[in-house]
Amino acid sequence: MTTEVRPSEAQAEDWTYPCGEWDMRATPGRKGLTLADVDRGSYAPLTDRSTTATMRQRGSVERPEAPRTGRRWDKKAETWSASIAMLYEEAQARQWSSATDIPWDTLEPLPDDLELAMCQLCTFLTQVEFIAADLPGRWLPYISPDYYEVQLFLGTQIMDESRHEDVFRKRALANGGGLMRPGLGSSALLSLQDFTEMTALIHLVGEGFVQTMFRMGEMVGQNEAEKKIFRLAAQDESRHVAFGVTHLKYLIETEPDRREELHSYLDRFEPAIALSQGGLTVEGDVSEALAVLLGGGRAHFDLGVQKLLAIRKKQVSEYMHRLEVLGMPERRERMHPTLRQYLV
Amino acid sequence: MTDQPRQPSLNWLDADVERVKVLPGPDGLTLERIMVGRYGEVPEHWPHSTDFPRGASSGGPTMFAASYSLNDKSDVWADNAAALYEQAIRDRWVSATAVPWETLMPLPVEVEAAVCQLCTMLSEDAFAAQQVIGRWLERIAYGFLEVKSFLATQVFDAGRHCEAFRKRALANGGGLGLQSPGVMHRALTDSLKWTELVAALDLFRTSAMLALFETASLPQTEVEATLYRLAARDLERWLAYGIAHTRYHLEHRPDRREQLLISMVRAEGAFVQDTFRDAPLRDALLILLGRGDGVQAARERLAELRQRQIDRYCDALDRADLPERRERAATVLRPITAVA
Repeated sequence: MTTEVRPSEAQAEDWTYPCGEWDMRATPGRKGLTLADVDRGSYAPLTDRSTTATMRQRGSVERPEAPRTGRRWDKKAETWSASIAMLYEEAQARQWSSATDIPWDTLEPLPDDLELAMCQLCTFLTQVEFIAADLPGRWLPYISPDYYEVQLFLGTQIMDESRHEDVFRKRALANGGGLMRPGLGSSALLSLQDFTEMTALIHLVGEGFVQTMFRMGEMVGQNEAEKKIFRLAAQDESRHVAFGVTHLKYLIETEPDRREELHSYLDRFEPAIALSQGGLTVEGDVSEALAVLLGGGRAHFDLGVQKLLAIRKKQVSEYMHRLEVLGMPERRERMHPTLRQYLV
Repeated sequence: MTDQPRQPSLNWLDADVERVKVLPGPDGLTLERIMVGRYGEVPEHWPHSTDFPRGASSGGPTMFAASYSLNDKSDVWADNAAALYEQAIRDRWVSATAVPWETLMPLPVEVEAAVCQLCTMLSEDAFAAQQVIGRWLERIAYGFLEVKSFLATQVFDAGRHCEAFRKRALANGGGLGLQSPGVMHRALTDSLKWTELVAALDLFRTSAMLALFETASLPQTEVEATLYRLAARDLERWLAYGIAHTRYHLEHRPDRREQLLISMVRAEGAFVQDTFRDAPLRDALLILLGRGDGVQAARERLAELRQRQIDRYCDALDRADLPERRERAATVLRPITAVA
């Protein structure tokens, strides 16, 4: 055990220990005191490479004797997004409660086919949100504290996805139904090996598809409680999707040689998303349930299928738009046929 | 794959669903309220290696196996997890707007430096906590979703603490100080069993943090008083999970008691090492606790704080059904009272 023998100087005129850049000041703005307000000067995320192998916070003074705490990614491009601080603050400001922010009292008994269809959809959603909450946590130990905002944002995503898993479970159990037969789920995603692979598959594709569906919640929801669930969940997913797009954009701009690697992830995942959603139109339990909900009952199944087809087209066209924004317009030609057929 | 409508099978309508109708209570529709029927039955061993939702109907397709390895309830469970999850959401706060940043006024330079050094340590500790909890999530099976939900709030809390204390350090004319010695971080990352991590983080380190935040003379401004109060409220939940889980674990796995007791010396010893090595933090605390009353008064107050940290931890040990660790822990930790 090492003992410091330096005398204490409790009333010292001057602080005698090393500090980072001094005289930092910040005042709260319209959104309060945000990370962007304080991370200025040498505290800003300036470096493209990190040599920090400990928990040392960006801008604090290094102790040479501090033990390392595991392997870290050293390149900023591995995880960074130019919007990360803003997305983190937005996530903080927009948290909500599944217990009290949903007007559960507006739930009324539904015809049995509609109730079970909603329960089937909720079973699917609670499954996929499971994995979306688990996967980001895996990468936290690899994120350098020099890019701490990424870790903090992933922490908000873990919270968001847990709330989604919870709110869809609650809905399934709140109106006379229950949890139905699970589908394929998304546990295969836990085998991903790389952060950018996760970002491409989860944030860009998976969450993007779910976000589009949530934004159609006015059509899918049968009452105000369900519509509000979809609205609030879509708001959360928008941040996750925005992170995916801005991270991949940063990666493509700074490491263009990883473009083909990204394509390879999408080559593998695009057919899988058709499978995990039980076929994008009417194959599979979830798609059938969606068609029942969209049509207003099993008697109007065909009408529901037409509406579902419109949602599928929207999902794919919005996916293509994200690819264009991040700088991969060539994906239009390379997209898997199961998805490309929906592009208009 | 086709665009043309097919005849639907609709065979999912025949699933063996257990039908329930759960109504919201005074606190809304909480996780506790939906623990009904087979949805609320938490088995001692979770048999599924997938994302199969607890209570769902059987008969779905065979899924890919996932990475879950903590499949025994005794490894993770706490009876209060569902309640703590909802409480965390009710008690949420936003550092950007819940703290009266506009009230900050210039402080004497050594006082500002002391606040900044303390905040450097607090921010770093929270960052470390977020990392170590986050990496366990994918190992915990979904039969214990209430625990996983609570851990999500813990991850979220830790991130907020990390940035809130960073903001304080960079808002009032100072800056970040010297990083922590880091030995305590290693005690967390070195924990290879979940319950060992819970004991190190939620029982030990959280008790020490709470004693620090509860020190009335520590905050120099309304901003710090608010930060310490809000952070302490979060940490009370961490401690509550730590106590409840440790009790549950020991009740169901008495064979693990000795190993858990041995593991705790790692966190206690690491804290002692950090305390001895961290002269800047010691002097920062002396300045903050002294409040102009002289060196001797400051030293006495720091020694009292260190003793309160030990006492709070010993109290947590008692509540976690580990009273036999109390005496040994007090002995291991006693040197920190002399560091002042």
